[in-house]
Amino acid sequence: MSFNFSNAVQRHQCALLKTVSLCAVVAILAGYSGWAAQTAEADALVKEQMAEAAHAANPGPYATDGVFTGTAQGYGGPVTMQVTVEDGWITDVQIADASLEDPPWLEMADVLPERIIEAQSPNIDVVSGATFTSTGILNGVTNALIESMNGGGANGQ
Amino acid sequence: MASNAADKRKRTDLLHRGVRLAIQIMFFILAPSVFSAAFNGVKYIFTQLGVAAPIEATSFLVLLVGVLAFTILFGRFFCGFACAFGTLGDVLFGVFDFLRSKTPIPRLEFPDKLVRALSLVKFAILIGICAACFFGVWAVVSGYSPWVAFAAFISGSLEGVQVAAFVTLGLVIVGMILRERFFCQFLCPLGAIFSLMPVLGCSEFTRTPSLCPANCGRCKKTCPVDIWPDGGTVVHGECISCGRCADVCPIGNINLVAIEKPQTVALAQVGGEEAAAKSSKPKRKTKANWHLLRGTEIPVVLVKALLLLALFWVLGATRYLPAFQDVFGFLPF
Repeated sequence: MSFNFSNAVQRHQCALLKTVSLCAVVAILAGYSGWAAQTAEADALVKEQMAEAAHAANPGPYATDGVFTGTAQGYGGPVTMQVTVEDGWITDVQIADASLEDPPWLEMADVLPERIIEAQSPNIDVVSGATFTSTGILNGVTNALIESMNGGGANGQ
Repeated sequence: MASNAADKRKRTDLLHRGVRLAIQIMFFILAPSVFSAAFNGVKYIFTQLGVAAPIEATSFLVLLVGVLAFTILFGRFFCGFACAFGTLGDVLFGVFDFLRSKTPIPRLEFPDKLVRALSLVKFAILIGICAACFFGVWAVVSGYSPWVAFAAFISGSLEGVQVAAFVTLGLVIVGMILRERFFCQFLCPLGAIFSLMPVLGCSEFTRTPSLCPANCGRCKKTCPVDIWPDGGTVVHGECISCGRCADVCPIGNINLVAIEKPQTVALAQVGGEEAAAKSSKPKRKTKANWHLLRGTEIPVVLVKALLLLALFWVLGATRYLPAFQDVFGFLPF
């Protein structure tokens, strides 16, 4: 019977080493993620309170209040964004229409509305890996905010 | 008789190559972005680590886990049959290989040691990209990514893609033309991760070296990533499961599963020295004395391809197919 013992041991060791490493990586990432989730929750609460206090004290940088829409080219087609401005601050950003984007990429770029509100500006980094969809969202918001700066136009309410 | 068998082997090899190309083209049309989406899962992990944010089950990460799980079960079938970038390389190399007889386009052949050294470059690229994501400078580096330029061509929109990305893609394409699987073997950061995955023994092409005829080496010569099909070795992590080695082997010695049937072993022992001497001679693996699964049989390959396509479809990574939710909307999840 053709069976090379040392060869088999070597194969066994290699597979075992790979399996153990993989399990270790997964365990470390899972442990880390649990810790980070707790910290992130606490951070978000503090940030939100600070932003609320700042917005109550001063008017924001955007000229006209209202709900504005803007459209820009994404990955599969146009992306339409809807931006709400109150007291000159961006209070809400919604993806009004992105039906031509591929779902996994759109889901990745879905964090951008929240980040735009946090930064009070669409001049932020794109989501790595979802460059085209991100660009559509950010440019769509920019176009909506241009409406606000121009005094509302047809979209102002 | 011998030439008959050789002809039959060549025909089978050609047929299996055709089936593989058809599967590759199907995946190219239906799921051209899976390789970059799955790798985005890796970038996502390091981006989150860099800002101490939690890692959530985003669509990219789920796709990455899905592709890695598939690799553990079936080997790097994804690389050999489903990766759009691999298919691009195979088609380019194939077309230019056809032209090579008429034009002076060279074919790069490297000595083994150089190949092994260059194979490590992809780990450097992987570490570099992970570091860039960790330190939040990926946006700068991505301007040079050939995958961004490739995605621009697939989407049909070249807007916002830097010239540098097209230059890198051009250089990679030159490499793909001069050497088969140039990118996959030397540069692909996703391939680097795949090569570290443990693979089930029954999904790795393996030979029994003691049966090999002297000075044959056809398997290694035809291998697109220059390895001996000896499943389980460190180097065998490079295997992209294309199965060409199994199809060119003149004695059917390379298989996914090959277990010698016990009765032939017992017979050899009972028969004494004479039978032992006979059985130690090089012989063909046949269904009579071995349990065999070659692994390149068309039904086997089709089942794997359909399983992988179904995985992509469920995870929403296919184009032109009705959405999974639309078809199975009645399910509670």
